[in-house]
Amino acid sequence: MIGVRKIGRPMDLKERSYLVEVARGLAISMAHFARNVVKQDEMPTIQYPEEKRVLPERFRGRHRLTQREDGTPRCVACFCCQTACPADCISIEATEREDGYEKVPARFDLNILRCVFCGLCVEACPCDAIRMDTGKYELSGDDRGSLIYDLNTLLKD
Amino acid sequence: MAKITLNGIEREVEENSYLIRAAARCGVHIPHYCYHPALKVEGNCRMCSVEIEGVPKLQTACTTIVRDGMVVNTESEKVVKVRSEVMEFLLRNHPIDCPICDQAGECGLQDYYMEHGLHDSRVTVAEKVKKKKRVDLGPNVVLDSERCILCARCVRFCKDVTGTAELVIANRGSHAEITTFPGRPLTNDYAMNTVDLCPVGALTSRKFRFKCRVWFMERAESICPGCERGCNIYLDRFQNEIQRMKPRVNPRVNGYWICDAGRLDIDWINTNRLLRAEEGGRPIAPEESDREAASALSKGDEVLLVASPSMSNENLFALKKFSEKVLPGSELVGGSFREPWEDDGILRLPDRNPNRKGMEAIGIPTGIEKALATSRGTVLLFENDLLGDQPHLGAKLEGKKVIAFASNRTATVAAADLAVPVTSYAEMAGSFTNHAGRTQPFEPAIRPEGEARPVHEILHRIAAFLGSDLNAASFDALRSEMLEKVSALSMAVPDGREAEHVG
Repeated sequence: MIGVRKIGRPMDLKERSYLVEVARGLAISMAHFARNVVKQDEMPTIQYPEEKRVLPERFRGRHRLTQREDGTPRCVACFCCQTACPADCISIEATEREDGYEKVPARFDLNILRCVFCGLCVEACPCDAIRMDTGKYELSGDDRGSLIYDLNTLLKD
Repeated sequence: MAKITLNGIEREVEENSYLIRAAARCGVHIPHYCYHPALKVEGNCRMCSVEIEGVPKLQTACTTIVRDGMVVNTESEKVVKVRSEVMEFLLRNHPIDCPICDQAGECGLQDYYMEHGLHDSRVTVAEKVKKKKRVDLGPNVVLDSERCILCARCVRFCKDVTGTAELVIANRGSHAEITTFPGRPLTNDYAMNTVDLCPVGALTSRKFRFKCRVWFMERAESICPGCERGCNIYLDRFQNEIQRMKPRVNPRVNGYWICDAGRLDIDWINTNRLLRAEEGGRPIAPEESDREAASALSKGDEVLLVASPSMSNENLFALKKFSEKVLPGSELVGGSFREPWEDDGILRLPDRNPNRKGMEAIGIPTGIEKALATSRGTVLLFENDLLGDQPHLGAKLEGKKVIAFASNRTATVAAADLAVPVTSYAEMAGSFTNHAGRTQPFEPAIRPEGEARPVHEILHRIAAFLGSDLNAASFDALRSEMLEKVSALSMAVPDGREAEHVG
């Protein structure tokens, strides 16, 4: 059995009436209301989505895969990002290419539903092939399939 | 025995043994690349240099034979310095390929650099000597000359083990590289062992190339089902798929090698599998298939059970028990044998059935032709593809009720009245008895595909429907019962773990 000890905290008449505290609370709210009506441009609320917050420089948004100057993906399918990912959201399939670069990704699927935006994949990449600098954070879709980004989607940005 | 002092501790070692081997037996690992316990010594990598008292210069431990009273230091200041410098030489022209190199993660250069190197490079990437990348040495082996450290393990393997001598080192200095003679590609039946031998990523397997990074894989100890040799293997898995097969050292059976045919024969484990029980092509639930099989057996017709020499001892034992205890009137014979191949004098033995000896020990007779000719009623085929392997026997199945227990979709499965999925050797524990009567256990490498179950479990369920207890549901209990009743199948203690070594 858990013992219950009652601690007496007797309230005086002012406290028991509640009226004083209610009036004080209302005063604070009304003061804010008045300030917002008079000085509208100082209001901290942002009118999203018409108005958007300025992102910090190192904001981690949706990933993208970078390209070389000749338009081929920089990714060499080394699997370092897949290894580093704590959320297990990247899955790569590697293949061989006959011209130039030996190892290239045949598939690069990034499950944004699983992603925790930690940025470890970017840290791990030895080729600067994956970045999170798109500034995109409005990631929604009608079905789960559309939120698993493939190689072409990630290369487009 | 000879007495040597190794790093200040007096040790008794085998006389006339190489110092590197003697030290390994004492638990002292001397780093090395070109030395391999199964190959002739060459002493070209200089990584195993050690200090021997009374000898002015460092000696390579792989070419030095121990002598009584020898005082050896493997960790002296001089040795440590030389090791790091040897590493620097070996890495002088080594490309920065780790991200795309299949060896990364199990690479001798990576391991020893972290342990003995840790120097800053004095050359830029542009200064490194460029060589041929991606040379097809043969159908199964790809060479990257830039990564090669010229340890010549592969050259010695082809010269001394297979005797085919396809590989040679051509050119000199920084331009030296492994190559084949014109028109003589690396086609011997053991060529892929050079990939295992290669301490760096110079030789890679065509089949495994870029398939999976090695750090993702987990391995299980298994036995190759390719022939009656019973080579000890590792099965490496990733995402419930067998990615590759590697030899597991066992001096009593296969030494350090396995043949390419065995190594490449892994695709069937994950493809074309029978995933659900099917009755005339219609998928049914496992309980339903057990009940169906039981009701077919309870009709009192003549029953023929056909075992296979590819089944594990435990499954064969359960089947034998099933035929004696549950269906006393039935006939049990050993079935389809795979076509023999040639004994190549190295590992491959003619009989391609991994467990014929086990089947004999358990007491399952052969003679399927006669049994099929005389049988009238129901035929139960276990891991037998009669229609595919032996069509002349398959024809004798016509007009009979056929229940096929199979891991893969074969012609027989397609024609069977009832097909029940069973696990392949990679998905269950079991044992095979090899040509020399050595019973070797294997462990499951992956989870069963689909609704596949081990044969002994299915037999136990069918027996339960027929009102008897086969006592074969638990694998451990079944194995101990088998070992108790069939003394010829006592397990061998795996050998040769001590012989394993880095890179």
